[in-house]
Amino acid sequence: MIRSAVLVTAGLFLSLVPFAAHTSDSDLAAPCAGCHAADDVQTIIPSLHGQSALSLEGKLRGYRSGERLGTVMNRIMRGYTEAEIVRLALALGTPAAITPNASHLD
Amino acid sequence: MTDLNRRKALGTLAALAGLAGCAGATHLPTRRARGQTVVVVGGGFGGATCARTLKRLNPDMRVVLLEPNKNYTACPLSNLVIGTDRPLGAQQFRYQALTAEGVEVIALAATDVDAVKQTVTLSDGRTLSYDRIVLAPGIDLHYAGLPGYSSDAAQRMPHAWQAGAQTLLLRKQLHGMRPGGTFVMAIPNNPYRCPPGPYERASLVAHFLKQHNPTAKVLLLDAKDSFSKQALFRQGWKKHYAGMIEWQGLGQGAAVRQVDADTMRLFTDFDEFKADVANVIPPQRAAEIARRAGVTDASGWCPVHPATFESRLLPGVHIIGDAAIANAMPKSAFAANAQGKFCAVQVSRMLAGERPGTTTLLNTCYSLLTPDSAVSVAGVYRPTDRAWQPVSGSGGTSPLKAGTEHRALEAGYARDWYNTLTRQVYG
Repeated sequence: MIRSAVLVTAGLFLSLVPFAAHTSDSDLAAPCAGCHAADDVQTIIPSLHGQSALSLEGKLRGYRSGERLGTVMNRIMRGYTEAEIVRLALALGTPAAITPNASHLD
Repeated sequence: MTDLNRRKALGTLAALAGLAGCAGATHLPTRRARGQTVVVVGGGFGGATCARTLKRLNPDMRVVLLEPNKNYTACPLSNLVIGTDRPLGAQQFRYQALTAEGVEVIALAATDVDAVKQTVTLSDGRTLSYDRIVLAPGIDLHYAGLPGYSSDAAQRMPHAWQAGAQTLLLRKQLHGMRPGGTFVMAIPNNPYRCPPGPYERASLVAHFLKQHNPTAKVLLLDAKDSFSKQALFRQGWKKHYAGMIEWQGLGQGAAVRQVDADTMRLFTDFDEFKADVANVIPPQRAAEIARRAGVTDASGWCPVHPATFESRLLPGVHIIGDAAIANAMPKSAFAANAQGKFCAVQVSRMLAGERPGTTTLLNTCYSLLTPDSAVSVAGVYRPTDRAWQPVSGSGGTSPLKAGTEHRALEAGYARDWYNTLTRQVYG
């Protein structure tokens, strides 16, 4: 079970490499900026400022599955695949904040 | 998945994040478009976004934005100018931020495009050569499509469908309407700019009348049988404006076929209506420059190859925003912004000799039922060879069953969306 989860995630990454030149993560994430600011602003719509890829990935999955209740976000995330959610999180989130977690892998 | 398993999966993701970040940056052309020129026509949400994105992706590219107006007056939230005390200035933006980033903003209109010679003619007679051109000209009001209506008639019966002086004119007429008068709105068939816009406007007009002219009526004469967010609007009207708003559709013979601005009358198939204030939203089509360039079809709109927004009729000419036929994607500011960014990426790739890519785009539109209550519609779209198609299972409107808190939250989101978007495009 542990191994398959890791493999799935690694697989997602490997599968996007050949397509990267044709569908980049930042292209995929670009429309999100229509509503979500990237800088540290006081808005009701959450800013993406300082959100880690790890945390974003969890939230986006939650909206997709319905475990996390929002307004438009549930309707929007149902249009993205699991693989696309990983890529959105990578494009929008800060990797630095989650790097220390990697040391706890085993 | 247990917490530990989940941590492991995400930990791997985290470790890969730096590497994947590099993959994410591949939209930058490997060969920069040095010395190349891209002309963008129109400084609305689509054009301004596209010009700014092109310059950020290609610092050495000459990016020219042709926009005759010094100020851009945005349509989203302009119904608040009509129905509340929101100033028109809150809708207006200038282009200095684009200029500061190196976009060459020329305050002239484009009057012709020669796709063979790859030149665009400016309203002062000059021509500019381009390597690719992006048309984001928006709509023209198709006056000839509604007998009796004209730019002169619009001074008596405002459309207020291009924000600015028309917005203020309609506001003034609403405020001056006689007690117990009738506000009549003529609504066109699809496609037109901002599908839920007329119904948001009806809501905010009723919001004003409820406070200042409570015996007045709002009559909507619609050229179609159903409309965007219909059930949500009807529910909101019943809750907030009981008995004030009457909607009649095509099936009831309510399509407006002719208007007479002198007598303030609107004529449908079997009836005529006398208005105290007439808000006539006429049929629309792509703006004139698109027709002159030769990129419109018999529908009056511009057919494009979905993934690149390049014209199906002329090579090297891209069309984005309201003027383009983007199929399931509505003619909205959100869609124009998303298209503007992606078109900039695709144009950059094509000029660098790379293969254009594909992506997933989305749209979200908020409509205010009152200044503090809103509903939304969202959609996610992917391009096929033929069309932008909705992703099955995604999208849809706010739930009918949602309570006051949900509607209030969405009203806050509507304002946030506007502020974030306009800051991103013009700020």
